[in-house]
Amino acid sequence: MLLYILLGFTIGLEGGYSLPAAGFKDINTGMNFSIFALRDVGFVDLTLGVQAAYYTGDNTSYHFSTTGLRLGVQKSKWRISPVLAIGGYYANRSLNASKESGFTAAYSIGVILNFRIERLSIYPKIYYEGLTDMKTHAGFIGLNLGVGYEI
Amino acid sequence: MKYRIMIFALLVMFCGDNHIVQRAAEDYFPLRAEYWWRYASEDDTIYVEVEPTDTLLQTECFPVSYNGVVRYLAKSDDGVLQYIKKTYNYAGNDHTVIEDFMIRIELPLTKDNTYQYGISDSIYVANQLIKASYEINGIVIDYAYDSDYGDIYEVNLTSIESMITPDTAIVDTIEVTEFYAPGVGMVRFLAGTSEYRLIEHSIP
Repeated sequence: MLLYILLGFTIGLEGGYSLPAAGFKDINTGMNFSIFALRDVGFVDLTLGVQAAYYTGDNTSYHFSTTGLRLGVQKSKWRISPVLAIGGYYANRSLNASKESGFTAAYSIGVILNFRIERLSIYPKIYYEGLTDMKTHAGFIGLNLGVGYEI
Repeated sequence: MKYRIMIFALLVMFCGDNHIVQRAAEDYFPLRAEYWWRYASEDDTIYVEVEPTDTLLQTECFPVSYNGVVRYLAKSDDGVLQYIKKTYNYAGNDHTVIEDFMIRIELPLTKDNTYQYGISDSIYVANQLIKASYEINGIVIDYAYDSDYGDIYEVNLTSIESMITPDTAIVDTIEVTEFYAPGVGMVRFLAGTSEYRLIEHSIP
């Protein structure tokens, strides 16, 4: 039964590097990593992923990190496909021993370049990821590399 | 029904008063030439204006005029730096004992952050040892939501400056509490028994 449910799914890993593009003047660079599942649901492929990102500050004692869920759409059969995603993150920021945390909504828009070798898919992705607490919007430009395997 | 509860829970989480993106993304200490702020207490006003950049000790800084009294401030990766100079006057001549930039406010502002910076040095003037020191202790006490400005940080600063000669020891301790808003800078401060509030500002 489990195998039947999983058939047709692609599972994968994605990670990369990001830079602040709007706001976040105290952040220098960041790394992100996600695990995702993808399924063709008709016209689009739906992805559900768990993502974690870690950013270092210009002040070397400052760090900003996010962890959360992301739901997105893309078109894996196209060589070049737009990607759109929304999600919710739990964010942490810390300086020395002090810490703050809170929730943010996240959205991302980008482009992937799909390469397929039988069941394996590899794609570079360039995207903008915005974070908002409904008061302020800010975001990052990212360059990721993803690998997926169709079960 | 389940979906409605989930959507409601998400809206409560993301639309609450905890604006972490605002606190992480916005500038709480805008510093550019021609920016100005006017503060008023019950019986006094203070006009603060940022003047065009200057260079001191090979550091580009902004002269900031507080009712005509200039304080030199600069921004570094670690915080807002203040130019500190202590001189000892002997026979009509000023002798510099300490001169440096030192962090006044550690950035980015983060609740409960405590820090301490200090400089000290000594020189001989007419065969007498003169010692001077300047120390700043900062505590970012908390942040609170304000409907006009957003999340405002409360920062308590205690500066201790001393000048010690063979005959005398002068120690001054000054405590101020300052409140910083995103994109605006200081919106309120407490100095001694006086409380000053921002009444107008210009940040083009």
